Parts: sequence; structure tokens; C-alpha cells
Amino acid sequence: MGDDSGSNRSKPEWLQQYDLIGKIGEGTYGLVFLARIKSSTNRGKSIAIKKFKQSKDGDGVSPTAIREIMLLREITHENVVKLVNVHINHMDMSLYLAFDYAEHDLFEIIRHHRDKVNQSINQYTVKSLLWQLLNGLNYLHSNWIIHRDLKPSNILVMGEGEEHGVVKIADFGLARIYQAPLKPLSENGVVVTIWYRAPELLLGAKHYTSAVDMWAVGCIFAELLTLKPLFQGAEVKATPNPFQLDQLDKIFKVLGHPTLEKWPSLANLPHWQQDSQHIQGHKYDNASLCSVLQLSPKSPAYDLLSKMLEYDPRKRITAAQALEHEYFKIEPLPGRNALVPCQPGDTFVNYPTRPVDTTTDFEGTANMQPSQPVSSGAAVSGNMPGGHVSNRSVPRPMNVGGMQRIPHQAMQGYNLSSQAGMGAGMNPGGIPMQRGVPQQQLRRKDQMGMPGYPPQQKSRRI
Amino acid sequence: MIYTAIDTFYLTDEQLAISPSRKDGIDEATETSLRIYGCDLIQESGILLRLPQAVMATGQVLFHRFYCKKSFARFNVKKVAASCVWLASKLEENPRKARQVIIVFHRMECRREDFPMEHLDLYSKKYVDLKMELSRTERHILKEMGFICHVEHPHKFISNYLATLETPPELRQEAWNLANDSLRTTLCVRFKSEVVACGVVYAAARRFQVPLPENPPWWKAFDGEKSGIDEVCRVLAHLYSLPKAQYIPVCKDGDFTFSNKSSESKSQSTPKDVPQNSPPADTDNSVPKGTQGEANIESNGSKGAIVKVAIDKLKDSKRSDDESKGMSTEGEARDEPILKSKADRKIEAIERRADRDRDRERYRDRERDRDRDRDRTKSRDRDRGRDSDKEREREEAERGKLKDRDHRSRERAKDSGHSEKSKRHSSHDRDSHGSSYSSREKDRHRHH
Repeated sequence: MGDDSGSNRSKPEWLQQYDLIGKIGEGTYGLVFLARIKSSTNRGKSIAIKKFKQSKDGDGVSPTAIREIMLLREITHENVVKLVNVHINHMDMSLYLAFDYAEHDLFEIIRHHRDKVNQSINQYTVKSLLWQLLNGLNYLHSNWIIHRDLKPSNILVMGEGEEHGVVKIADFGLARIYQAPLKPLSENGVVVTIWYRAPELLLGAKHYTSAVDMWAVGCIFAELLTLKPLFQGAEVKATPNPFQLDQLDKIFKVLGHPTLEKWPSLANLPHWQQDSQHIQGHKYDNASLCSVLQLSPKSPAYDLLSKMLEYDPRKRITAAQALEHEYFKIEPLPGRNALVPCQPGDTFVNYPTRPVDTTTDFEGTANMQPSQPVSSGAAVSGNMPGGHVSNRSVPRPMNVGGMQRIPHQAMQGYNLSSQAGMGAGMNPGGIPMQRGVPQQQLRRKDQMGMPGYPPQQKSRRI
Repeated sequence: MIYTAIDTFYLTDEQLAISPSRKDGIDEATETSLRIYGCDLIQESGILLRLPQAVMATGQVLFHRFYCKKSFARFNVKKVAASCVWLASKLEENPRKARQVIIVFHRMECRREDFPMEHLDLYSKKYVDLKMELSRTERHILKEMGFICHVEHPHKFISNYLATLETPPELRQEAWNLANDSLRTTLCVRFKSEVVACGVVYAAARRFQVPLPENPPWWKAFDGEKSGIDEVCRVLAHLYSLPKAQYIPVCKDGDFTFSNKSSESKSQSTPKDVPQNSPPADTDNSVPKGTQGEANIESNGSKGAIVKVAIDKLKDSKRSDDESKGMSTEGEARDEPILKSKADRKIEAIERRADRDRDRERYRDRERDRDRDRDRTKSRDRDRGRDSDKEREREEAERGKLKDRDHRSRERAKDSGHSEKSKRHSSHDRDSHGSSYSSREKDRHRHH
């Protein structure tokens, strides 16, 4: 067991089923830890534990956590992150969400190609990642859920195992059911990380739809192709209103000015109406999406991307329509394992797994012995995955190369392949849940079923 | 067919008959009374916290669901009601602070259970314990719900059903009132909200003698069943036949209170220590709206308001101004926040206590209808006291949302001849009261 610096602190009962490995991320909500399951049925299975710390006001369980759990408890899809368990720590009233762990995310994959491989992501991988992302998003939109924070770091990809290369959409802290909201969605304030924020949001739309997610997917698609963010604007945090001049400027430079002819409802948007900072007068010569992407305007990839980046949200392509696009019907066809290409000629890339910080204990403090494994009341597996960890033993730095990472990004949940034996039951505080009344646990309808490859999906209502 | 969220929390009559409370030896009448009492607390606290009606509706449904899984003997009804309205405020995106909820429940308890009105010290051990209990009960509720807390309300369907049936506009308010009252009962855990909506539409049509198509039966188009409709009407009639629900201590762990019952002598001795001060400068214009709202809530929740004002003035003069302003909107004796001499304040305190004694007598003697009437009167007074136009607009906006922006109702309000916004609001409340009263009278008659 090594030295036990936390010998005086009792470990919560629910935590004893896990071997804690170390910290793998953090955000405004709290920390994310990597753990492994001890029980014989799922021995060694990796779990990401996302901790929601209680607010300093002591106002109980955070609404964001409740909302995320409520949604994830009701949805099941291969391309959506799986919530395995929820634990409530009675000592400090913290809430812990246990997810299947995913080794990779699009942010890391893109960064690896840009900084290490120094080569584009192969077509098969780009197409498979995009198809699976759209497949999961179509499921969400079909069930009236808008994600509202799609970005590369929230798109996870499973590591080696049963679900190797499968995409998982993560982080539902900003997601909402929009079938019949009591309040307009705009009352939730600013949503979507700024580089992936749709123009109708930036111009202060009072009403918006799932089309804001499709704009974000378009930005992600372009980033997969070019290895750098498409619209890399600087956000002004101080102002409470949604208008962001620099972000709009970056968009207009590539796509040109929006016009009332192409976007009739543009006139109704507050910040276009007010002509905030004279955006209508700025000139954007030589705006060209195809030159930025270096794609032929006649290629199906360009056509799909331009439809995702349509200014008018009502004309923007939907997830269901995108899945039927010609781009996914030409070779190479997308596959379930996005990381291992089917074509013999393509280069196989061995992506590094996420760095793990073993010096931070479960309460979030770094101990004084950096080289020692974490032993603060938590048993650490003697078999550290040293062979799989990248060169650095510290968590991902915020600044990478020449690119400034967006500050205050919420860390995503993580996922790993689930097994039939793993139940999704609630086990707060280690107390077995007493369900005296048997209920029929209906899941939201899964019109996709198990996705077949290549895709031959029929379009349904959004 | 409108696609709706997963809605799976329903029980059969057999399951309800062997509820956890019944297994703990609590009879059906007592459980029913406690359910109504808890819902009354949720409704009243929601009004005091200025929450939109949707929050109280969600809170009452969660309350009923929780006591289908847990016993009243093991979870105090006051604790659960407080945590349900608190949790519902988060779920419906109108979050309130734990402090606000505790202060409101403390004040309601003193008034309803005849405890001496006392000052709730926010730094006392009692307050810290209450806050911990609120959070702990919230976690219990979330755990029992399995974190699935989606709630669908019959109100959502009423406007559509009535519009489709082309009924007279007065049915809308009646059906809405009946839907609100149905939340006091377990209808929400026995029937889907479409069925409850059909039931209240049917009852409203009967009340106003409006014929509805029966061949083919109108309820078939709305996923209703005649047996369900009849049961909704029967349950509502039974609800109106009951006396006002009272608090009944049934907990095995001993009784729970938000207040300290033995603090009467302490509260009486406090006024002597209050130093005399000159009136504060008028800073009304600079007071933020949020602060004002909180001040009002706090003054509502505290006993010995004069003492509280004086004590707070020592700590925070600005906050003291807010308290004074808040009080002036409620106290009939004073038109402006002028602090009087010590002797005058003592006299007023005595008079106020006497008034409270008389109120308690009247409170106990009154029937349910009159209590409801008084609550509405208080609500109207509070509304008239508001100076802010924004507040009024917000309230109207919320009412509009709750009723799916009922335009015909607003037209009727205009036709009544009231041109001012506040009067329109008052007129609206009077309509609500009138129709509810009439409905109950008729139902009682039919019941007998």
C-alpha cells in the first residue's frame, strides 16, 4: 500500500469499489479522476469520475449536475457518453458522476497530428469521426435535446478495447430539452464555446434551435481537415451581451457578409438591427471558404461543410440530412473504428493516451512527494499503465505550442467500453437503492438502433 | 402527437394503498391530510419566494412521488416540502438560496402552528443545522427519484383541449384552478397529465353547463378515459369536502421544527437592548432590485420586525434601509420607513402582537374557503405595494407563460373596464377566487 498520508481519513464507502489512478482533467465544476473497477466481474475496467464540488454558498446539489444527470439517465446511444453511476459523498455533499472512460478526444487527436505527426488526418478517420458525431447528434436532436457546447475536447474517442475508435459526445452541462421550454433558451445566457458559436447566437437571437449544434459540427469538421480552428476569435468576457465583434469578424472574413437576401430573419437580430460597432459597414474582400480549406468547391466534402456553415439557421443542414449526404457515400466509407483505417495503404497512427497526474489526491490537493503514487486513503494499483502514458507525467498544459487554448473550457467526461454486466443503476452513498415499486424503465426511443456501416439511414423528423 | 419527455412515475391504486406510510401505521386519512398540508406549504412558500407557478407545480409532484417511496413517519413533511420547493426552483431554472427557503418556512411554521414569532439568527447553530437538513433531504429526494425529475403538468394541455373543443373562455380559468388544486392530491402519480387535463376540462364544463360532444366521445381525441375522468372528478370533490389540513406530528424520531420553541423570553428581552438612532437617509433609488427582493423575503420571514430592523441597522445601514422599505409595503400602520421613538416602537410591538392573537383566533375559526380568500387578499395587497413597473411586467409575463399566453383572458380583463395594469391584476385575482369558490360550493352540494 505504500505510505498512507490519509490514514486518519476514512474512505467513503462508495469509493472502495474503485482503485484511484490519478487526475486527468479539471474545469469550473471540479476535477476528473481516472479509476479502475475492483470487482471481479469488471476488473480493471477504466472509469472517469467527474466531481461536482458544492458551491461555496452551500446551496445543495448544483442545478448543472442535476440537469446533466437527468439527461444522461434517460438517453442511451453508442455515440453518446455513458453515465455508469452516480455517487453522493455525504461528508462534503459532493456529487460524483462515473462515466465509461475514453482514452482520446478530438482536441488531442488534432493536436497530435499538428505537433507530432505533422500530417493531415487521413480521410477515413475524418469521415468516420464526423459520421459518428452526426449519428449521436441526430439521436439527441430527435429526442429534443440541444447540446450547446460541441467542441473538439467534448468529442471523445474510445481507446483500445471492445469499442475501439467509437466516438462519444460528452459534457451535457449546457444541454437542454427544447421541445416545450418554459423560458426562451436565450435566458440561459451565453452558450457554446466562442470559436464554435453560431452567428445567430453572436447577434443576440432570442430564439434558437438545434441548428447551433450543426454550426459547431461544421467548425469541428473544418478543424479535422485543416488541424487548426476555423474561426479563432478572441472573446470579450466582461460584457454580458452576446455580441462578440472579433468572432463575427473572423467568420465574415471566411464566409463573407451575411445578406438579407440569403438570411431573411437577419433583420430581426438585435445586434444586426442596432448595427453594433458598425458591423454592417465592414468590408470583407476575397472571402473564400475553399481557399481556407484548400478543397475543391466541387468536392462533396466542401458541399457538406458549406451547408453546415449556412448563415440562415433554417437553411442549415440538419444532422439527419447530413448523414444522407453524398460525402458519406463515396470511398472511403466510414467505419465503426474511426482510428484504424480499413484501407491497406493508409497510415496507421498510434495516438497517445491522456496524461494522468498521480500527484493530486482525490480532494484536489497536490501532496509533497510528486514521485510517489497517490496513497491518500486510496489504494493504487501496482500495475501503473506506464507503457501507455505519454512522455509527460503532468496534466495537459493550458498553453500548447503556438495556439492559445480557450480559457475556462469545461473538462469533458470520459468514457470506456461498457459491458453487459455493468448496470447503470444509481448507487449513491453506497446504499443500495430500494425500489419498492417496480417501474418500467422506458428509455428514450433509439431510432438509430445499432448503427450499420456503411450508413443507410432513413431521415426522420428532427 | 406531441413528443414528450419520458414520463414513467405512475402507481396503481393497490400500490398506493400499501404506501410506506401505511406500513408504518399511518392511516389513509392522516396521510392524505399530510399530503395536502405539504402541498399547501409548497404553494405558500412559492408565493412568498416570488416563484412562478410552474415551480410550485413541479415541487408538489416531486413531493407526492417522494412519499410514494418513503414514509411520513421517517421524513418530516415540513423538511420534505421545503426541499421539494427548493429543488423545483433549481429544476425550473428559478433557483433560490437555501437561506431564503429556510426563512420563509420558519415564518410559515410560526404562523401556522402558533409558535411565538422569533428572529432567526443566520449565524446560530439552529440555522446551520436547518441548512444541512435541507441539503440532506434534497439528496434523499434526488436519490429516490433516481435523478429523473422531469415533470409534465396538465396545465400544458388545457388550453389546447379547450381551443379544440371551442368552449367559452370562462372555462379556461376554471379548468386552470382545478388543475392547480389537483396537485394537492395523488392524481399526478395515478394518471398521466393528459387524463388529469381531461378530467378538469370535464369538471369545468359541468360547472358552467357547457355541453361537450359525446358521440364520438370528446376525450378519445385527447388520450383520455371516461373512468379516469370520473375518478379525477371524484377525487377533486373529495378534496373540497375536507377541512383545512393541519400539521400532524407522526415522525418516529420526534418532532421537527424550523423554530426554537423555547426562545420566547429571549425575543422579549431583546428590545430593551436596542439603541436609539436617527432615521437613515433615503437611498431607495440606489437599492438594487435583487437586494430589495431579498429584503422583502427576509422581513416576511422574521418575527419582531422592529427588532430585526434595529439590529440589522447596526450591522449594515444599507440593508436596514431595504428592510424598512420592505416592511412599509406590508404594514398598514405606516406609510413610510420612519423610525419612531423607543416607546412608540414598543407600543406598536404590543399592538402587533395583539393583532396576531386576533388573527390566530380568526385563522382557526375560518373555513378553508375564507382562508383561501384571505390569502388572495394578502396577495393583492402585496401586489399593490410593489412600486416597480418591472416587477409588474415580470409577474404578468409569468402569468402569461403559465397560461400559454391566453389572449382571450387579457381581452376579458380589458373589457371589464380596468385600464391600469395593477387593477387588471386585481380583477384577475378576483375572477380566480370567484370561480374557485363557486366551483367548490357546487361540488360540495353535489357531493352531499
